[in-house]
Amino acid sequence: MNIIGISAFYHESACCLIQDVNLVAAAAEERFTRVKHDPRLPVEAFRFCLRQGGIDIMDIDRLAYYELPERKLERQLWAGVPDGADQDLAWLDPHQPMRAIRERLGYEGPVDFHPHHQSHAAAAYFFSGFPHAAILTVDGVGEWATTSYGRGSGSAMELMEEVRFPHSLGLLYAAVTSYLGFRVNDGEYKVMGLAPYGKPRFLKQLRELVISESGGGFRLDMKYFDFLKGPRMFSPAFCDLFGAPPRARGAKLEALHMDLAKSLQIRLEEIILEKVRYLAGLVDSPFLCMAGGVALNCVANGRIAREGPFDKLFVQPAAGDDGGCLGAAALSYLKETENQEIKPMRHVYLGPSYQTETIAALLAESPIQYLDFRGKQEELLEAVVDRLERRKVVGWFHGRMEFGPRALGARSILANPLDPGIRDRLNHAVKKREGFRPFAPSVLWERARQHFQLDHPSPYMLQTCQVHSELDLPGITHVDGSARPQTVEGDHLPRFHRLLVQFHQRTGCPLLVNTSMNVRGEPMVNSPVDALLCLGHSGMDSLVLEDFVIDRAMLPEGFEALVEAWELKTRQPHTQGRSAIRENLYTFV
Amino acid sequence: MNQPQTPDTREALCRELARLLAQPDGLRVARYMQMAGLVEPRPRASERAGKRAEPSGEAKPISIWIPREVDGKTVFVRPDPGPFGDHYATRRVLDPQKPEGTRRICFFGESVAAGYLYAPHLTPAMVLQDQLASLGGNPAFEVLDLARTNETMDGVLQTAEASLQLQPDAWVFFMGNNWDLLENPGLSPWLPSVKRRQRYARALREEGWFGPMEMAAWQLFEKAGKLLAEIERLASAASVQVILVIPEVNLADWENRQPIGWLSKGSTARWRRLYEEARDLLAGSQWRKALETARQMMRLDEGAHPTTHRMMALAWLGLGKKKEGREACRAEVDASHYATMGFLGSPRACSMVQALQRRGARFHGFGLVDLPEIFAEAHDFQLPGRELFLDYCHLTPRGMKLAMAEVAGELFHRFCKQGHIQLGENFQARLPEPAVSAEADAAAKLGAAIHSAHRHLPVTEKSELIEYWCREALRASPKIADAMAAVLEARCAASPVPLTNAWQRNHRATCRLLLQHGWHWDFLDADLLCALFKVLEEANGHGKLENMLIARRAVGSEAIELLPFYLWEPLERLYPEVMATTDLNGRAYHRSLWPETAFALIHDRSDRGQAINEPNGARPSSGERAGGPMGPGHQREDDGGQAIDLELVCRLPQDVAFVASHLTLAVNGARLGEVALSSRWTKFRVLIEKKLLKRGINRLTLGWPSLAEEEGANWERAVRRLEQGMEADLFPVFGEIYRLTARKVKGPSPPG
Repeated sequence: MNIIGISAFYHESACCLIQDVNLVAAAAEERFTRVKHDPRLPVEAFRFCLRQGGIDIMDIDRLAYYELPERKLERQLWAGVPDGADQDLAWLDPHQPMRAIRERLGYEGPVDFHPHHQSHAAAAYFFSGFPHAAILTVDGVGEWATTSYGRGSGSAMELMEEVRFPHSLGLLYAAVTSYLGFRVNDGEYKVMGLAPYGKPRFLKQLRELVISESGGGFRLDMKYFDFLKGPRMFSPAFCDLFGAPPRARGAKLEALHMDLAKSLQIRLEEIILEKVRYLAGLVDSPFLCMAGGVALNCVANGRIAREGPFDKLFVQPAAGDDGGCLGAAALSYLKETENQEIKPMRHVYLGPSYQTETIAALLAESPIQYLDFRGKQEELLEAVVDRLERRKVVGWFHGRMEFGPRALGARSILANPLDPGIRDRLNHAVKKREGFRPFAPSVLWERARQHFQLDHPSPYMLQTCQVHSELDLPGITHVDGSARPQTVEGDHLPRFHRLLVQFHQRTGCPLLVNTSMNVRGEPMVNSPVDALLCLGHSGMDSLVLEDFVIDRAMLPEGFEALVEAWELKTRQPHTQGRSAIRENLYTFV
Repeated sequence: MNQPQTPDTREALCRELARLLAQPDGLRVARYMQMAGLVEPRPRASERAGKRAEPSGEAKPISIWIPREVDGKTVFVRPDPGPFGDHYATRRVLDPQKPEGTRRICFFGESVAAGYLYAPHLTPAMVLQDQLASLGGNPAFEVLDLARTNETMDGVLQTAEASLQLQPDAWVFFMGNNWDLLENPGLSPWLPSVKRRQRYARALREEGWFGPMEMAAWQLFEKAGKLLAEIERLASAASVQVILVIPEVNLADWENRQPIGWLSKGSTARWRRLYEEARDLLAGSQWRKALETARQMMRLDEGAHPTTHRMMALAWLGLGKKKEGREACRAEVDASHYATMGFLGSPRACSMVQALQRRGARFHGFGLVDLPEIFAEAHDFQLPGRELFLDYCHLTPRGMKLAMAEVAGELFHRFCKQGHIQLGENFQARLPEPAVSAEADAAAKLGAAIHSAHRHLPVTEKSELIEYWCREALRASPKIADAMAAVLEARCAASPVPLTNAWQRNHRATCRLLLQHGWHWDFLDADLLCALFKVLEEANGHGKLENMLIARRAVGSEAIELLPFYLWEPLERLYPEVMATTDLNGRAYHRSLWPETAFALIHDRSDRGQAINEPNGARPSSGERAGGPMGPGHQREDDGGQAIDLELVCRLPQDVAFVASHLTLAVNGARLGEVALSSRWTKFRVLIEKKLLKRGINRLTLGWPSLAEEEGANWERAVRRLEQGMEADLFPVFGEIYRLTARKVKGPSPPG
């Protein structure tokens, strides 16, 4: 039984494969095309899933799509045509996803379309491993729903209630993100990272923007918003409410911006906690499953875990639209197998991996010097720990790529959390991004309690908690004393676990700074070539490519400039969206 | 709580509307309303108000030269070119103050004007400067090169206007090869635009294949007219003389073969049969019969298809009719210019572009250098070919010399009217030969070979031209052999060029190749490799290089995917679907626009592995093991005498009728067998016996069934889809491949 799941045509398109009872592959298209948040049909991810599953296109039993195009069109028609948007009205065509599946993927078999929030809910519940659970999905908007309340029991799942567009916590967050000068659908987590720097002095205004209603309901005061008609998400009244014009992109961040971020975060947590309590009253289960883009708000998740009425929380690690493909595939799988249960998701290492021998061949053809530790894992780890101890920043490429937005030890940049200057260095020199952005730690689960107020594993970096370590950990401690740890156990990524053990043995510190291997504006790396190019234009000191270690000093002279020029020449028109057509041949005229 | 919510009237209405739009005719009605202009969203407020740029007295950039304060005065400084070079002249600083007594000439244009393949070592502007200097006289001239590869009309106008800050006395414009889809990308029906597709469909309905061509011609006519008028306005205001150089193109040695689109009256299958006939007749030198067959093709395609003209040209030339041959060649360029909006064919100025410039020059009083006339006279009215052109339009040093000599003469005529310098009738003979080093000359010629391998698409053999340029490159400098080896090594590598040893070596080499020479190519490049092997063999042997190819790319015991890296012909990829747009990626499978799809199979027939001695960057350090000279990817199993097992997942395209449903497989021309296809994906396994394979590059071909006659249904289907804003198959697709893998097997044929 081979079921393909697809999410596409909004942002972060992705594809997955459920084979018999197992989720065997999942990947976002952006990792292959190198276009961040690529919304297009996941052609490359589709081919990868089939390769990973060892099947051909005619072996697919069913393909599942993550939303209902006709119902989405209803809502788009209801919202009307924003001024100046899409003069073509291309979106009037509800058959476009189906046509793309038939004509672009070449798939001939049956296709199921599942409601957007059903897909999110299924992605959370069916992969949680819980026998039953309450389900909460919160995002910008699917077809009509923006928040859904549901329950699952065994292989049955239902959504009982929903809050409908335009009343949306996701769009509220997006509007503030836009006002604060960050890109919508990209900068939301920057706002979350900015919040601890501020004071909640705009909480009253935020309570005017979004009003909680009885039960599961809430509503936005639409006079402050403009996402129905205008090019911006907020109205002039929004600016008046905060007494300042919107921040220009790249402009200095002032106290007002931080205070607004903080107020927004507090208000979001208030509402979500209230609605979670409401859901607990509806569903008799100690378990809660969450998905949807807002479920990536790890600060809110931390409060739900600590203060909420549920004993256990599972947040789908790919909680955004990328993860929608998982739920859609699960729903079709259950339909096809008459409710045979799917194995729970135990890890996110569902993307491509690259054989050591392939990497060896690539390095042998290159002018890059390297250290070869094939067959010598302990020596490799010693060499990596050496570098980390000497406060070097190390790219860590190992095993199958993560699915979802977080780097969890497969495509990571690692650093020493004891280094007082590491945060600034990582932000400025390595990742080339805003200085206020925090970094998360990966910590040995067996040592986590000694350093964090955490009483359960958090393998996906989806919850924050307070740091209470005896160590001084400036690299991973946010200004409010919080952190967003990944707890690491030995089951799924034993080499990464061993690295943490060795680092702990050497330094007494059982954790490392862990951030995604990419620079600002780029998707996380996928292949060894991506990683080598990233080494070329980031400030990493070393790169571990499976069994090989490359130090910056081993790069040939002028390597960075060569890589930069190459990337500019070959990728710029496409990645910057300047050219509607990207010709795959070089053209000079 | 918003739920349960009583559906308001608007919501109910929208539900019904969405339901109707999802019906088979629903979307069509909406799209026809759009076509009729009945449904139009409001433009943005800013668009309604119109955009106006504020005038400013400050210095503004001239192309990539940015104003900077240096020693208290403003100069214009360009960023340093990257290690791969860039599209601009290398002069770093432009001083707005021209030297006293000097006439300053600003030189604009596209890649031809920028000296593509020879730049930065030799450019037309450099040639012009040297020629003017050699002629002597007073005043002296200074030529500022502001040409750039990939220049557009908007870009050239902007640069020209900005160049007024440099106090020019004359502007020389050498442009027109790019006045095609690059100028009007919005005309392409493959852009993700409902409106544009509808406009294209309307043109198709009204005029057949000529409809879009006429639409494009009108747009170009208007745009070029405005450009020339604006140049005149700016030049008059600043008392700047203007000279237009009308480009000529390679007619003798360059062809733009394209697949035939669906014909409206349903004669596509017949056209294809005639094409095969004509090709055989040409190959057999049966010129008159070939001419008659091409005429029959033209009756079917009504002259809209470039290949028909090229076949007529070859037949005329075979018959010794030069004038008719030239006209047919020119007609090929004209027909390929906008033929389908799908192919970014090799840029060559069509006759309309040339006519527009002649007319514009007369109308505005510009000086005119008419290269079609000049080249024809200089070459005894032979078809312009490889003496003047490296490829489709880029000039050889001789081409540059001839072209710039006329510009120099025109400048003298304009600025030295007092006659104290008389050029004389044969002043060109006194001009210096363009000075270029042997290494740069060789690199340019190797670049010409690479371009020919990738983009030259003749109806008959293409290897002759590639080999010619490879030999010319070696003749210019034997050192180019290292660059040839580097190109080959880069093709064999599993990583992008900057991660290869080859690139690093090239970066330090005397015969250094830049990106313009074709490094950016993600395919094996079988045509080029074959030519390099042959030419290097003639020179000094190539065994080591072929060993490298085999070591890195030969089919081994693990299955390798042949798509798309081992596709033989670049044109097979030159189809709109491989062009990713902002809303759609390419396809998950390959579609063949040709009755045959070819792949390069690299095979090693030797019985034992052979050590490869090549450089390696690894250096051991204490206590740590370094990579050996042969990575695992380089280890070859003991594979002598083994066969190759192919696995193929393919189908015939839906909605296209064929006379049969068999796919024929062949290797190196030897037939392997047939498999029966349907319009559903099917997996096949085929064994290629050892005896059919040679060591090195083998050509594996998949021959798809022939089209059946039809009554124009495919054309109608395509137009209807465009009318509904959907992308459409304007060309026949012969076969579709999801997967093609190859691996070595031992023993008898595999099961299946």
